[in-house]
Amino acid sequence: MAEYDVWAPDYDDWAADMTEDVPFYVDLAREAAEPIVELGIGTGRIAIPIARATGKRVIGIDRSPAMLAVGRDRAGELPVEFREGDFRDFTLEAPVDLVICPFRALLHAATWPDKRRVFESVAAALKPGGRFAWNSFVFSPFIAARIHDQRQTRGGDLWEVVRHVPADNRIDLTRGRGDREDGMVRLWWVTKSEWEGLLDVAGLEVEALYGWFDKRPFDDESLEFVWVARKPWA
Amino acid sequence: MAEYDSWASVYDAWGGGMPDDVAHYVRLAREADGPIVELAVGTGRVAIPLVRETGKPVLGIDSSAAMLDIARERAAGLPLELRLGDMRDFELDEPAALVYVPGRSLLHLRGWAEKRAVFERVSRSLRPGGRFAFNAFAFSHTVAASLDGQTLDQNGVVHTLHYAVGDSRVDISRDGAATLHLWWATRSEWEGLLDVAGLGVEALYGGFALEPFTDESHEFVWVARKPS
Repeated sequence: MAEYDVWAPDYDDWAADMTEDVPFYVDLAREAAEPIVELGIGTGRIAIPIARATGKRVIGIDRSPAMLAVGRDRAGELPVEFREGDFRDFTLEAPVDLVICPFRALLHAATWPDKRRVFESVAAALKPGGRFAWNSFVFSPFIAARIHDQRQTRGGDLWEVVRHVPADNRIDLTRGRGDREDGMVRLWWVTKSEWEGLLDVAGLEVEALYGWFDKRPFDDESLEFVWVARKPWA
Repeated sequence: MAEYDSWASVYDAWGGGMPDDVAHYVRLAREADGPIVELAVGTGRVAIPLVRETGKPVLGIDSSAAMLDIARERAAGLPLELRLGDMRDFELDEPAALVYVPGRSLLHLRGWAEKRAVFERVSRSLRPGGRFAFNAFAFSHTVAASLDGQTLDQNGVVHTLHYAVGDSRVDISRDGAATLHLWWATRSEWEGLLDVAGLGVEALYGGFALEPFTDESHEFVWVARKPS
């Protein structure tokens, strides 16, 4: 979608702080048969290291042609296939062993019906025993109160302004570089209980909930949900 | 449940800061053409004026015997039946025209599984076209950030709040009483619960003046309906 296209050139600079998720998803990919499916592949920040480290084929789905173009260029000869599509109703040629959705990409789904469709599509795409892994931040009122409406720098002259809309559990994120404003994207934060509900309606089981990519247990103070779910064998 | 028993004597004073929800539930009760049930009836804060104003009989269910004792004493002579029970698995003798949960009581339910159990139980208890009405606060980061760790005096009830963000939980502690918990829920999760229970949204208001729910709203006031 157009709102993500404007972010494509700067996306990797903006995401530069996040590196610890790469080995976590690479390890899951090692344990799975190919192809691996990544939802919200973007510029290939996770998919490319997976392909490089495991040699396995990765199919990535994203709505932003500009992001996909950056990723395709960067992946070169690696076995990564960048597909334009919507993760609410993607379909695959055959069921797979592993679907991942890193970097909070699921928070771009606005409403319960949107999220439910994603989880049901994922469940339909998995083989019995296959895994779905994703991460998202825990909405912290303390962080929100501190950064609300403040302009933050994010590497070089990149900046962002975050506005919180609690009634819609929404975060409006406006980004830019220097004097230029590049537009706004919206994220809808999700509680632990709602994630449990989405797994429930999709018929997926929780294998693990970690509080970070080092697999520490999730607890009351955790600021990241790192979920690994599984489609039942039966 | 025992943790609510230890709050019974101060519950109404403590709840004094809640939005004034009585008139809204009275209106819904007037429109109901069949049995009316209040879940988490507590000390009867809503049920007693509702029965008095509408003259209709109400069944109130609560898990705290101590709360119900207070309600029973206050409701003397009124057609308010008070029953000790758990809203996760209550049974009715006949389907209800209205089930309602005022005072944000659904926030006492822990996790998706408990909430789903209640919504499904409510749905099964309603007659076709029957209504399910409830309210809950919309979680505010500014409120949370200012109240976390604070000890507050609400009408003489001194209590301390702690926010556990990973579990979207508020712990409410008071000397000599059990710690109560609330789990905040988003609009999207409420929609999901109505969805799995097969209930349709009739209205989502942003307050008890029945103003539309907007980005600026602080309270979810839901009216859902079982399809006819």
